[in-house]
Amino acid sequence: MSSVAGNTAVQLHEGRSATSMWLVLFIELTLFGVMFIVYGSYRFMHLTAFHLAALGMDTQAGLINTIILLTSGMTAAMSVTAFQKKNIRFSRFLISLTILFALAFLLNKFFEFSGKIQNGIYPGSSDLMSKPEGEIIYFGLFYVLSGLHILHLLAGIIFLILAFKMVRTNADAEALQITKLKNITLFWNVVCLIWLFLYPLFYLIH
Amino acid sequence: MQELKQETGTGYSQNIYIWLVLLALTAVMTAVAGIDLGDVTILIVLVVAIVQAWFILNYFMNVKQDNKTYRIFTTASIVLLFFFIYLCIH
Repeated sequence: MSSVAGNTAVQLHEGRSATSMWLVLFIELTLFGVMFIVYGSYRFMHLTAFHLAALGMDTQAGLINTIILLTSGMTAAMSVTAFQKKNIRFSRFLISLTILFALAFLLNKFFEFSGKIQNGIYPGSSDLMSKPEGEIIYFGLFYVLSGLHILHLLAGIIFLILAFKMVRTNADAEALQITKLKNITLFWNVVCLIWLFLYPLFYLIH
Repeated sequence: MQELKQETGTGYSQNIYIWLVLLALTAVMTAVAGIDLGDVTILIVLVVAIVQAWFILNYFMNVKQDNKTYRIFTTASIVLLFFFIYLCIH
């Protein structure tokens, strides 16, 4: 009887936890959605300036980061599969791989930002301020959206580290662990999902 | 615990296939962006981004197997986002 009650409690917790997580994810998507619409509106107003600014973007860096994040999304999803198949060691390995990909993304971003800063393209720089208004807005939006995305990525790394510590062979807590691991990988894939829109908007559309 | 065992998670091979599809779509998106077709280029690039988002939501995030409400909300928000961005950029 107590086992049935325990299972019901776990299912209830799983349901509530999933709903809360999806609510958070919708808020995140709405936040970025609004920012993308702001980008679109400014692009409409400053079409030529946005075109010129986009020509200076490093498409190769954007492409490498897209590949890195898509691969990390796969390893994150596979870590849940591994856990469900009771392959705990492989699940932990996949979580650590995801963290490594996240760090590789950050390293690539660091080089990209360094190049921009060396060329005087950073918020408040005299070089940037001497450019047309549309280009100032373009790079302003680029830094704000990239910064916001990096903050989410850093939060994702912290969650993944917690997942790595949490995932252990402990049958009693298995149901709760899978719920937490699923939520963390959901968050991580939302970080990947957001990048899938940042990449074309800033690096591909001229 | 029995339910956990029976839970229909996606297999490793499926994750790898989806990853390959996503990489192929990224290649298509990047290649198309290099061709100057005016507004058509923007449309194709955004459609490819939406398709990629759909694959991630359904296979990496398993919305397909989740609550129907989440599926409707996520699909609706992604489609709405596409229209808003396209209308603004267009």
